[in-house]
Amino acid sequence: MSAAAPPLPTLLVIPTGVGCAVGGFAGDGLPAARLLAAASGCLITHPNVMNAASLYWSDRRLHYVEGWSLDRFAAGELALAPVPSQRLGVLLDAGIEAELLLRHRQAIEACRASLGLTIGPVLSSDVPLEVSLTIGPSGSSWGSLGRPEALLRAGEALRDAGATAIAVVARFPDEPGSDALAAYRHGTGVDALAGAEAVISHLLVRHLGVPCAHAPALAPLPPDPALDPRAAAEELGHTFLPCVLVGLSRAPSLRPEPASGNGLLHGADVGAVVAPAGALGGEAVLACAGRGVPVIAVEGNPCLLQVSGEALGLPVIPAASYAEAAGIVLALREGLDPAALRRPCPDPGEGAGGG
Amino acid sequence: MSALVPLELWLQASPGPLLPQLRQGLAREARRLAGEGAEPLRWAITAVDPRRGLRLEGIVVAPVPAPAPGP
Repeated sequence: MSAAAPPLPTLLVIPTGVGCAVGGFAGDGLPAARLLAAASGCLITHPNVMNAASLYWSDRRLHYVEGWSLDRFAAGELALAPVPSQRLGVLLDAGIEAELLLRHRQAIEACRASLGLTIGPVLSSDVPLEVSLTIGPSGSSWGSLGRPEALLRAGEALRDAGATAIAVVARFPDEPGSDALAAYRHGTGVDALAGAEAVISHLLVRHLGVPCAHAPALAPLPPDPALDPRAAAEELGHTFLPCVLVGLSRAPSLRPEPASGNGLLHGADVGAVVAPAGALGGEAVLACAGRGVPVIAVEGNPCLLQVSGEALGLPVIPAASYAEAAGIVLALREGLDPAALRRPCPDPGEGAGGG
Repeated sequence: MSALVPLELWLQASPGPLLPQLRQGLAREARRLAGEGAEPLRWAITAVDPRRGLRLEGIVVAPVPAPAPGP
């Protein structure tokens, strides 16, 4: 006789814009997310992991939660309320040129007609959002908006018109000849757009309290025969919007804690968090670690940063790869001490974090 | 209404829970950079140095005062 263990709500964090070898490109964290969703039965992760431009994967066990709300969820300040579907408002930057705008409107129509998503209203900001890109002292990508108030005004208008989740498309600067873009396309660099994208979505979710995610609008690039497979998803179409619309279409709604009701996911329910071994200094990981949630540190996902468990004084369970991390999650779900699977057998005092 | 300001901060953590110390340091730095009511919007520890402590990079969101009424 066998029976599946109850789901073990698990957070998968792959920070944006720090050059992660897995998940630092165009949705190339998706295979890891799918595996961890199967192992845990309930995976909460963020758009950077899931978004692959025209490519996407939808799975009821995968919860698409933007980074600001993911941090608040991990900290126990927001609960997640899974819903059958969201009504998607789309916010288009007034700085998008007519032809590129038409491509985005057609991507929206395609998602309505071919996927059956509930989309509308669609509106443009009253002035261009003026996105700028920067690189921080660590080499990670950051960015800003010249007109954040225009973003928030348009978001309010969409929410007031009935949108329960919001996709944003901002015009990003084209940098076709830049070394950074060439490195990214060849699989060695940082996603220069990612930091600004996160700022946009964080700002909007914080202001509106509804799920939001972002797709950049960019002019098409000339084909590159040396394109890295991890970056290839962004070169398949004219927009990066379909994955955002699909992800948001089933994103859980956000409820301030204390929240009650059937089916809600609470931060206190999280049974494991999985993150790159060198990028453990984000709020979600630290909040979970502070509550004693096992932190599975994936050493096979190097990035620019070297903020490890050892450096921070956090106990972690090391995993060489996401495949091993999935095995550890499954062990935790089944009530096994992951340390019991290692040799030599650890001292009893070492426990799960002693690997 | 809001404005966005980049943040870089080195912080020496004391023994004990780390996150409350980071939040306190970030909130203080956000107010210093952008005034009362400013909050960190997005941040992470991006380096650990034995001498200087923890480096935090982030972006602060600051409320922008409403424009003064015209003459």
